[in-house]
Amino acid sequence: MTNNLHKILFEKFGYSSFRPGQLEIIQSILQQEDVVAILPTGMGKSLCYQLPGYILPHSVVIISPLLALMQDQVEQLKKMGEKRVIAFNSFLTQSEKQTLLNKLEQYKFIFLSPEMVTQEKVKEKLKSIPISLIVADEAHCISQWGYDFRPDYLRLGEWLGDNMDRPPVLALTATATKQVMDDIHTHLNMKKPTQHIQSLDRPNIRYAAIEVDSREGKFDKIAKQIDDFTGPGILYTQSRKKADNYAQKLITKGIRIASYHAGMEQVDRMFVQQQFLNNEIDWVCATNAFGMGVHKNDVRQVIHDHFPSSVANYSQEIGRAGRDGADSLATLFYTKDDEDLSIFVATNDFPDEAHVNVFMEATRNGIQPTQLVSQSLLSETHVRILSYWLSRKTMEETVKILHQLRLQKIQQIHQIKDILLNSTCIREKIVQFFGQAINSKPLNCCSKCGMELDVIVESSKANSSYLTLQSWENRLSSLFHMID
Amino acid sequence: MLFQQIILHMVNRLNEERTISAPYHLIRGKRSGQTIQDVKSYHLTKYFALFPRLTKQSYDQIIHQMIESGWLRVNELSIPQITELGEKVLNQMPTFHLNGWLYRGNERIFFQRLSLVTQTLSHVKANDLAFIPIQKDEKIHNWVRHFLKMVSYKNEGFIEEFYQELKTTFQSAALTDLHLTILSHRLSGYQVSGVTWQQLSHMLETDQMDLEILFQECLHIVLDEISLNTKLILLPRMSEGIKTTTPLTESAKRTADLYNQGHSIEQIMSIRQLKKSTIEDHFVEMAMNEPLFSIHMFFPCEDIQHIIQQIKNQQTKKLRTLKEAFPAYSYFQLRLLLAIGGDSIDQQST
Ligand SMILES: [Zn+2]
Repeated sequence: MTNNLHKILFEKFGYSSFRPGQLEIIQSILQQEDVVAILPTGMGKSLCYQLPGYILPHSVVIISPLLALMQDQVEQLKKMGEKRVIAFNSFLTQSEKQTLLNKLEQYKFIFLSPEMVTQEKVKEKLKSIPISLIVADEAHCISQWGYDFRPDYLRLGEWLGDNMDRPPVLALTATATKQVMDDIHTHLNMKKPTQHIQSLDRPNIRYAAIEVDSREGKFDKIAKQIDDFTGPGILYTQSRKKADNYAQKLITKGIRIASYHAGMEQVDRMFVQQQFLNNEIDWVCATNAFGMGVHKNDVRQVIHDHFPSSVANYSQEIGRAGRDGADSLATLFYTKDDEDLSIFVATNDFPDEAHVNVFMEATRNGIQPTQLVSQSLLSETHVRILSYWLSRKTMEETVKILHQLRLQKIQQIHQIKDILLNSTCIREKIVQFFGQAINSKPLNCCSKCGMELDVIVESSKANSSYLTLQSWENRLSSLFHMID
Repeated sequence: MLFQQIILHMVNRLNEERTISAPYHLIRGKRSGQTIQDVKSYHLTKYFALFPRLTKQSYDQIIHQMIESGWLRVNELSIPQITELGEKVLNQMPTFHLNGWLYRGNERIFFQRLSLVTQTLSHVKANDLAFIPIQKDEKIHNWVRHFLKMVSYKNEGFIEEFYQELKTTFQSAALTDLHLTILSHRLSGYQVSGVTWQQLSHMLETDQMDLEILFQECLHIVLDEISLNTKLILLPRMSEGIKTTTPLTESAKRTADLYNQGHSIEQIMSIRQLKKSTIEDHFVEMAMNEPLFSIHMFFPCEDIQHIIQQIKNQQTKKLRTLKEAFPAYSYFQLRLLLAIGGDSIDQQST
């Protein structure tokens, strides 16, 4: 059987070997076991259900709570030439949904958001078609103890609970704390699941947290590091404006960099990805909008100029470095008052009691929430969050929940700051945060353990020239590979 | 600068009869009765839907800068007025080959098709079909899939043909090198990355908005060229459905269909579940755009040509002023008259 699996791995996916843990997980799935698989982010967890999909006779249903993640996985499957893949989410119109539902069994990979599973029509259809495997992606979202609790995910458990002779369930996550694991078992109604737990540590990523005196000093330090050490790299910053500013300033210093954020046209964002993948630029200066869907294995550096909003987001972002296994560097530059700024950014657009009152008042008077946005009384984020909670909870409960969530946001920033500033080893604390202990530390582990930068990353290479424009005739002939 | 000049041009045409938000709605391509009427009566067809995603915030910011520069004034009623300095700036404006009213934002759909077809063919030629589509819209995917199947793109020589048609079209005399530099670098393919607006702006040392205006103009010229050049075979199929065949908005078209089937305004209101004012907007739109539409039913026993002449003598298109001069007519009737009258002014000036 292993031979066959290797054959499919090579023919369908183009890999000659499995990443740690993948083979064991796939074998358990093929033996009809329920599986809880813990893998570090970005280390090939989607292959664990994609490959069995080509062996199992029927559909694979993947529940994915993050829309961007879902879209990326659909795109990756399509890129491999897989046509039998469908994403079923709330962006579809009623009639599109119905059309797709009617022929749902024709699809091999069916992606669903958790709230879709609870819709009667979908539920009924899923009951009537043969399914080989159910996958709960980002399974920690089901736990109240997880850092990213999504109440809708609990209903997935209700659905699975109803289903007596259901197919095997595969739960995938990068969190291994006991509480989260227990919640996954209970809420997903898993039957004596086999656990496959990989170390969440990424030994080839080295951590540095460096204090600087001032904001201006920070930019100079970042510029120097980018100038001294090699890319490809990602520079994460907090605002669109800053991303544009940094990129502009670094271009004039001769760095091949482009900015990337959600304020740019979708096509522009794709262009930056293309340039990064084609090695036409060495750096991307981005907000946290960048990352999902960027499959580049040789990222050597990730730099932050701020405290990210949580330990989980931090490890997501730095986890984009070193997927090829080679040494990589994650550096965060901070000043003393950066924490306040991060808290401001995280809570600034988050609704409170006053917003709840505005929203309720408007609803009573029959005013559409969108009108409140155009009158600048509420932001779009306010409306999205308030509509979600107020359609499920009373006003008092909502106020309470919002208050708790706000405190949680602040606490999450304290947590990441604490790890980066006050720990004796950054690596150790990050791995502990996700419920594991580390076995050993690499040399040059982190800035707390002591590290020499030039051992980890090479100095930057002589720059080839930055983008140049071609004549339209040449551009057209290179697009179509015409020789004139 | 081009963008500011276009604003000045609009302000000038609007003749202090509209507020400063009128150009904003027009540029965004708002499909409301008022905006559509402005397009026609003030001859602003070029600029309709020039920037569908322009935010109010950036618009306000630009207007603010223009006031600071002393190019225009906005009075306490929000009515803009061009200054002497503004007129000088306006005089420097080049003539644009824009035709926003004809394409109504659909030129973007044409470009989406073009960019996905180009990306696909580029990868077909390189024998590597594993790529992430540059366009995300499923409708565009389906269209391109269908198109490529229809033209049997795998046939020997197809890509060459497609390439030659593009080259021929791009040689149109109305297109400048700048137009084509922009357009060709907004396309991408196998190992050929696209170039972002920011990067283009940096390298061409031109304001990003101005580049986007030139891009729009370029698409309009290309589409015109495609419809005129009878030797082209593939590109005309790529531009199917892009040009507006009915001058009406979709909603007005449905009202017009019901009206032509013999339904009254009241019946249409109840069939379509729309407010009276909305249906009236549709009739004004029909009066403006359909040469055969008659407004006689709204003026049972009057000489319409005579009333129109009287209105013209007032030398204003401001409804409130007209209502004071002709209190016997409803606002709806006055708008119908303006719509018809606007059209005859159109014919005189062109
Ligand atoms: Zn350490």
